[in-house]
Amino acid sequence: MPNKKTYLLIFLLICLCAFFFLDLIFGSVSIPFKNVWHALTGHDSETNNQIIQNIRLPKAITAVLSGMALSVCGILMQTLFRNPLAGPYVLGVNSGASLGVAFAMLSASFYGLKISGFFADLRIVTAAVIGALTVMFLVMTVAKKIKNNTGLLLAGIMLGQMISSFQSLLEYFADPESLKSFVVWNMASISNTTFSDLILLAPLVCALCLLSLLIMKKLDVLLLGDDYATSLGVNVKQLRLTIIIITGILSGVTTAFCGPVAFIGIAIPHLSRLLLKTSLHKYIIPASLLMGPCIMLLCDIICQLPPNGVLLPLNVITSVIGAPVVLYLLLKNNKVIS
Amino acid sequence: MSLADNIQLQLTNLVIGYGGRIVLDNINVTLKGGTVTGLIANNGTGKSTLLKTLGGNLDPVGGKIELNGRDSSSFSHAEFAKKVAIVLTEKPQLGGFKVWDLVALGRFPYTNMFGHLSAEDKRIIEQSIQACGISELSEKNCLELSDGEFQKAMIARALAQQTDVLLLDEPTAFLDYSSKRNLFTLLRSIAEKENKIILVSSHDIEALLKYVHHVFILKKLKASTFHPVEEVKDKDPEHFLM
Repeated sequence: MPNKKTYLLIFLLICLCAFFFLDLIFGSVSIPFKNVWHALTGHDSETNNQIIQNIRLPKAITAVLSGMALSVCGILMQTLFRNPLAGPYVLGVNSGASLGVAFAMLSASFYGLKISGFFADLRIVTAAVIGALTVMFLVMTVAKKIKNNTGLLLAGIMLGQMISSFQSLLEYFADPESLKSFVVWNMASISNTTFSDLILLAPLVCALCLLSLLIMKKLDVLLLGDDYATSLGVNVKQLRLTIIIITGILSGVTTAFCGPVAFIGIAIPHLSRLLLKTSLHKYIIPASLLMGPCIMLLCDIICQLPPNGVLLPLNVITSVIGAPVVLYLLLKNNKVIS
Repeated sequence: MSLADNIQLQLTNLVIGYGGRIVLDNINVTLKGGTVTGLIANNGTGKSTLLKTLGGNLDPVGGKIELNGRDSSSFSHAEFAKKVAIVLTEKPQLGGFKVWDLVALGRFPYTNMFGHLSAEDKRIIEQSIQACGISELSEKNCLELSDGEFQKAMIARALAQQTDVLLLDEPTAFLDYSSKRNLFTLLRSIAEKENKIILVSSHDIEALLKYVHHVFILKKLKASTFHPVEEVKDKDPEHFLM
């Protein structure tokens, strides 16, 4: 018989479907639900078909994928560092990916490179993943020396600041056209992805989220500490490397397509733990894989709410939702959070 | 004689240490199934280092560890986890874990990739919880436990691992008098009933000597010595630790 946690997961799945369709409805042009359905199947007016199929559908799918990716990154980093305050944004992993993207976008004009389409995407994604992985290894090295939670957080912030300085330097020397596109990207948005971008984003995110489901049993044991994990038969070095690779790639690929999205990675795992009242990964990974997309879709819907086609920056909304969760964690020593 | 009767942990010229630093050398002993051995030493002599080396957390600097005649380095991670369990002094912060969930982690080496627990696994978990006298705590969050209660839950987890060898580093550190007595009685009965090798370190030498079968004494710059408990029971600890 299904338990309460299973019902909560089903509830989250229903919320995900509802938010997905709501995200298709909201936008600068008002399209009623009935027409959205017709446009999805290509049976509405040409304009509506275009808006839904080429703009809103890729955007909603990107929200789902980035929500999944960032939530899984958050869980894995919190387990790896055994630190409830860990996440790709707060520990500077997103900044590393941003520096990679800055280097790829701004240096292209410097060297007179003109690449477009899939290979331009691939170049930016590769640079972002390299940037994210480099920061992950740096943070891992620092974490070995600094054992307390707040210390690690401060080290992450310092690392992020240092990376931002390099980024500013690249911006200073960039030509105006590249700089403009970089500044727009840096504000984080899921509105610019197309179906051709999803060819790269979707398989990577799905494969790595699946991989995280396959290691969930080992993640529980890792929470006991390296010594206990080894004694229970886990190859800790191998597991740590797997986690670093998954988080580096997920964080890098998401940042490359959506910009540095704030707070989703740290907040969603905690919201999942609070909802399901457990830290067991067999529950919180599936819950976060559903809740992350829900919150990303909700944030995107809120971004569209202002009238006259005004679109709010995504990070404003994700920060309004995510930052209070971090504050809550700092203020209250919650029993559910490890 | 069944195979279980032959359980044996043999240390030959073992040298222990970490990070290139030798902590203790010339460790020789053979521990047999069905016995509890008390590990006694002054602070900083290398008790925890020895237990971590035997538990597979540290590589030996030199010498040999053999379990039932097989070199411990030849075991895979998964095989070794079914042979040796360890309870350390560190207290992991496990919010969101019930005591039952924590003890269930002991079944890790036996379950599939997704950690599915069979009816037999669940029976062993319940049995381990009962043996440690913490049945009423099984639904409690680990963060709500006292240090002593958490220690018992960690011992139950090690029991659920169903290994031939059980290593315990200072398990009585946080326990009151009656809990200490119950724990040592439990360890002795488990060793005797299930033919396990139990090696337990403690600074509470008086309590330890009442319940163990043997003592293994580590000394700085001297060879380690192994005695039946009767040999040292009535002696002043100062005398045999020097």
